[in-house]
Amino acid sequence: MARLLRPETVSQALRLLADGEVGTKLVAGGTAVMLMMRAGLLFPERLVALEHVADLDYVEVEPDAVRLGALTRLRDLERSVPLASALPTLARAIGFVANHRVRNRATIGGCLSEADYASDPPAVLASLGARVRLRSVRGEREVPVTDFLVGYYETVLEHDELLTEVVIPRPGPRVRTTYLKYVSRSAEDRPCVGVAAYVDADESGRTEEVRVAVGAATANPFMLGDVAQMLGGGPLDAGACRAVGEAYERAIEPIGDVRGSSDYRRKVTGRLVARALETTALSGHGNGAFRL
Amino acid sequence: MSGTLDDSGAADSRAGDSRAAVPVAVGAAVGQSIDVLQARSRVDGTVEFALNAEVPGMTHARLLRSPYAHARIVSMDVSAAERLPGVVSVLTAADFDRPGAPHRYHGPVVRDQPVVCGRRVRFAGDPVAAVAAESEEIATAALDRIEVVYEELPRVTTVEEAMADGAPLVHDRPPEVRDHGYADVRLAGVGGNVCTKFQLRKGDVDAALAGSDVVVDRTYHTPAVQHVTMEPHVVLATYDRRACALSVLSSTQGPFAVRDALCEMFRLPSSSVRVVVPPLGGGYGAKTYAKFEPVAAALSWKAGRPVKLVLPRDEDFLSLTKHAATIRMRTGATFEGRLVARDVQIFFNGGAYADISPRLIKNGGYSCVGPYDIPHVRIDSYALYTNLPPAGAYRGYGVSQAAWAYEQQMDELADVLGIDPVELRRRNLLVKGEAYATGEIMDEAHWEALLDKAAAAVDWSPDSRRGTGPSGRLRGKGVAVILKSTVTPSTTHAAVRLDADGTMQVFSSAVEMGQGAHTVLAQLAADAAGIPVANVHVTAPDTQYTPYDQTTSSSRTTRAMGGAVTKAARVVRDRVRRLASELLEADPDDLVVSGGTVFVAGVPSRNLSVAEVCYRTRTGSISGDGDVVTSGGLDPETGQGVASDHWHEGAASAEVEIDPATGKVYVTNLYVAAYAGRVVNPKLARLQMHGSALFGMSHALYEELVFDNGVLTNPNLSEYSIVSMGDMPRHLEVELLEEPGEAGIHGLGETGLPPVIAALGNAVASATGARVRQLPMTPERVLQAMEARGATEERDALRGLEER
Amino acid sequence: MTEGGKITVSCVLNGAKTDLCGEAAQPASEALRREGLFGVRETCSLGVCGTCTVLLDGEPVSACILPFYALEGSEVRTVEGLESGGRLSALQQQFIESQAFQCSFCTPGFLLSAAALLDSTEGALTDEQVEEGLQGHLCRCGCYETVKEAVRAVAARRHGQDAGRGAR
Repeated sequence: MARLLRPETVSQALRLLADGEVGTKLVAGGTAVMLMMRAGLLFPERLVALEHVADLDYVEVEPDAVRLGALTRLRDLERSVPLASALPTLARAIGFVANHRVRNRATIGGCLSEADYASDPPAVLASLGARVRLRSVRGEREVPVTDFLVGYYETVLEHDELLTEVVIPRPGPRVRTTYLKYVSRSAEDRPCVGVAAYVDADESGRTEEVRVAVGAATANPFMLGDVAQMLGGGPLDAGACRAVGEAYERAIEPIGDVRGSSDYRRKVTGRLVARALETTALSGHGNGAFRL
Repeated sequence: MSGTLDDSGAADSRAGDSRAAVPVAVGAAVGQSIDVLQARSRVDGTVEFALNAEVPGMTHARLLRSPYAHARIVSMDVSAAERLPGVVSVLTAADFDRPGAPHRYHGPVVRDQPVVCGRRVRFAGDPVAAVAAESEEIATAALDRIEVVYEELPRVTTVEEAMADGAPLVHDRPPEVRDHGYADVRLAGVGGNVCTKFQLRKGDVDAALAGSDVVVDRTYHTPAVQHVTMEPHVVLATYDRRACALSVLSSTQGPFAVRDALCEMFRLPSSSVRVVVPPLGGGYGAKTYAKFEPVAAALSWKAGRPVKLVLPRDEDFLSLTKHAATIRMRTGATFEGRLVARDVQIFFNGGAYADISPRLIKNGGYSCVGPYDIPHVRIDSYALYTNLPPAGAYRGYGVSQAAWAYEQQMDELADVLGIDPVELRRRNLLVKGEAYATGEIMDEAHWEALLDKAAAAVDWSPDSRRGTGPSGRLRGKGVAVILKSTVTPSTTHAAVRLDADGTMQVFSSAVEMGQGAHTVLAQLAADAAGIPVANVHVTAPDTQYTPYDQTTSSSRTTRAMGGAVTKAARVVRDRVRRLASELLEADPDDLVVSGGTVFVAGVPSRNLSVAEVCYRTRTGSISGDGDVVTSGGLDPETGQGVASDHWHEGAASAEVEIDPATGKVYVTNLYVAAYAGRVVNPKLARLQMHGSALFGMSHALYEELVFDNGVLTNPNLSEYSIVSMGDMPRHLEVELLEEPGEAGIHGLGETGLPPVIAALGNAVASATGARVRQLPMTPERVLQAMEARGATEERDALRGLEER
Repeated sequence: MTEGGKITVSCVLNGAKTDLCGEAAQPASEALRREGLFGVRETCSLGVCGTCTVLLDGEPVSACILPFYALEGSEVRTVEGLESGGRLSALQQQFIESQAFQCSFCTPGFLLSAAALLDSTEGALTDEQVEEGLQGHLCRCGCYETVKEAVRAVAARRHGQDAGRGAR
């Protein structure tokens, strides 16, 4: 039977983590932890419930960055007017996670710390160049989301560290972003493939920066680093979108499961990368998230 | 006042004719969308599901299940589990060797399923031990303390593997048939892994195929899927050692099937086994015969305490499946589009135990003809044992597998012939008075009307079958028509009791599982007795008190139980008329009972209330009973005879859009129609159709149990996908074809399901020009079919077709 | 209160101050059923199907994956708490009239999410709004059409609007 500890401040929580007791598990909303416990995958001896930890529930929109407190519930993020206006694609994509009951409990910090490969926010955050702030009694560090996630349900979090904040650089006014969530079965299914695109292009269509992150197909969001270079600064026309898609199709090594085989996911990745870029750059529908 | 006038003479004269429906008495209730009985409990959380049941001294059970699909049990040690504090009893096969122990095997047709396995396990999930403990947590903990050593055996999981030469045998010995099995089931073709075979022979198929202008030869596949009732299987069993009596509360669709199974197993008379059935949180066939009642009862017998078993969801997935099937079908036709011959081999994957496969594969077999007039037919239908969870009854009962094949084949044939698919069907549909392939005459035939309605619902025209949407999505339309039998022969009894205050009890063993059975029975009883429906109460099945009924299945309850209740209520009404005749100084035949009042026909002012009649004649209560018994059966060599007391007729049409990049199918328009004869409660009837439509859509697009080395890999609602609100078609329309006059009631529980799957298949093929012959039509399979077609487009478009 | 073994949580359960005892990390659904609230029913035990939905401070959550301790200090409403003074809510009544259920095992979840949706919106609702609000609720009997009809009818009626206006 797990013992329950309920710190009320971040430092209390960090001290509890620092005492090194084995079998300690942090719980935020509890949706993932409860699933794992009920499945017999987790037998914590000590639960550190973060619900009452103060000051980690916020959306702060600053000139250069948007800061999300780790204990902000997904439901509050999807409904946040400041977030929707600063980062509309992210706000919408967060609203695609699981269902409203889960989002009423789950937090953005818990979502990232769980590192579920088939969750929607990681790919979008990766494409936005987001970072996470990790704190412990030893100090704190900031890590890009792409480095934070390192495997299936695996992160670089040390046992004494707590993810306290997500920091997302604010895109410039030219930037357009898109998220496509593709489910291959019923509308309630987890994604087969998710594609987040970020395009920074000038008025002539010349691309400055292009990022594409593919979620749900690999352990962590899959990105090719040199998309803009691949385009040689040229315009992102239909042919270029297809070419990027093909590059992703060649490079990705997706999982296979009941939602689609590895080959299928590879093919769909290529096509949806192209579509996400077209949607972002060409359709005038930029800055949105769409369910397919 | 609407009259209940009066059909009693007709009813009596037709009572001996088993194929005639009992004419419906139509008064104030029948045909009305009244609210369901006990509606309040449905929306305030207080329905007494079996899940809520508790009795003093109750223990909680869990089952230990085999991790292997096929293995020998080398040894088993339960001592550590027995020592765990809070564990009351651990049941293993060894307990059944004790003197006076119950039988260890059960099964509705063939006694081949062990309550707990002894020397061998036959599917991954086969129970090897059962634990009763003071709490579910303790029972669960005890499972980990049971040590079982297995030695894996070679397995067969597909019908192809099961049929192969030298295949490992799932059962070594021929199955033991139950003494009182089912009159219509005669095991044939048994041997190897063949559990049973059904065959139908009509005409000279080989000659007719040879003489056909075109022959289409294709093989179709459907996967195993699960019922996913929202409420799992729940059993609360109490074995009373002193009285040698067994009492069981169960979420079953077949109270008497369960009672009879337990009577045989414990060698007890019917009077000593009581089965009570509360409302079910969904059935769909999953709960049709004895399932977990035997193990819960045996555990209670050993423990000497009541035992409650609630299956966790992952185990519910292993309880029963819809048969996976492989259907090879050849159909010959003339250039003019007349069907000439059909040759079918249909293989049903029955899993490890027979369950009701022997009967189901018969229905699935003869149904392969479809609602068509085909002169020459040969059908071989097999139930195969494999090392998978047992397959059995499932909404549609073998027909959705058959219809998936024959309605796809009709479109394929239409394409070869260059005839519009709707037109091709029209040229071959059975009409009233024609014989089905079994030789029985179709007394009713409404397929043409249903087909026309289905086609109209999607604005069908030969050149509008396919198109492209504004966003590049491929659009297509499809239609399908089907026939479905009902279980024949069958037996249903009912009783009613009118009390002196004018209220009535209906004693019926029909199970209320959401279909509204009790509500429509109350409506029928009210009008037949001539009292307000508000005065009717319908009892829950209790084998100690309510009369025998075969099962609540096969879309039969409204017609069969409704007929029995109608007859029983008429007996009561006639008695009321006789009692009232002296008081009202009129001949009983001149009296009308309606709305709880007896009056002289044509002189409504000369009346008495039913309660007044009872009071003045010192009548305490009036009882009546009624029955509906149907007969039939097919010759085991030829499949000729009477397959079904009456036939269900259905049609569907669909419009889909397909994303060419992903292959995903979006259903934009879905229409389902069924012949209903007479609708008792329109809003409940329509919901049955909605349910069938959505089940069909879910099977067509999403559902599939995936096995890896015989182990189910997706036994939960995250990995197993069912249709949700977000998948609803933009337009969903259902229609019930009624007939004025004395039309009999036709059940609606299943009719809409098979045509929906097939119509969606045809719509996908229209949209893409490529046919997916394997369900579900996942985006991946659609894309593969499109690519395969693209690769071979320039080659022979009739590949796989023989043309003469 | 937080030391090993069982804990006691204080909450307002269906309007009444209540102390509940249980294990910290046990599913709240089990604790609520133990209180005789049998309208809380588990089907998937994964937070997927919505059958065990309860309102926690007015917002729908899946009780099967809600840790027991999270009930502390909150207002909890189950389907048993939707009626008032022994009278069904307009939504419950409309579910009966629209026949928005068959077996009704899943109905409490639909009712609670629909109640939350109606509380958080004004005026008539479109089909899309209802679908969004009831996303994540599975009904195997297939009553989605009549559920939508029922919720939209209540939404329309509360502002005296025609139920058909939001139809697509």
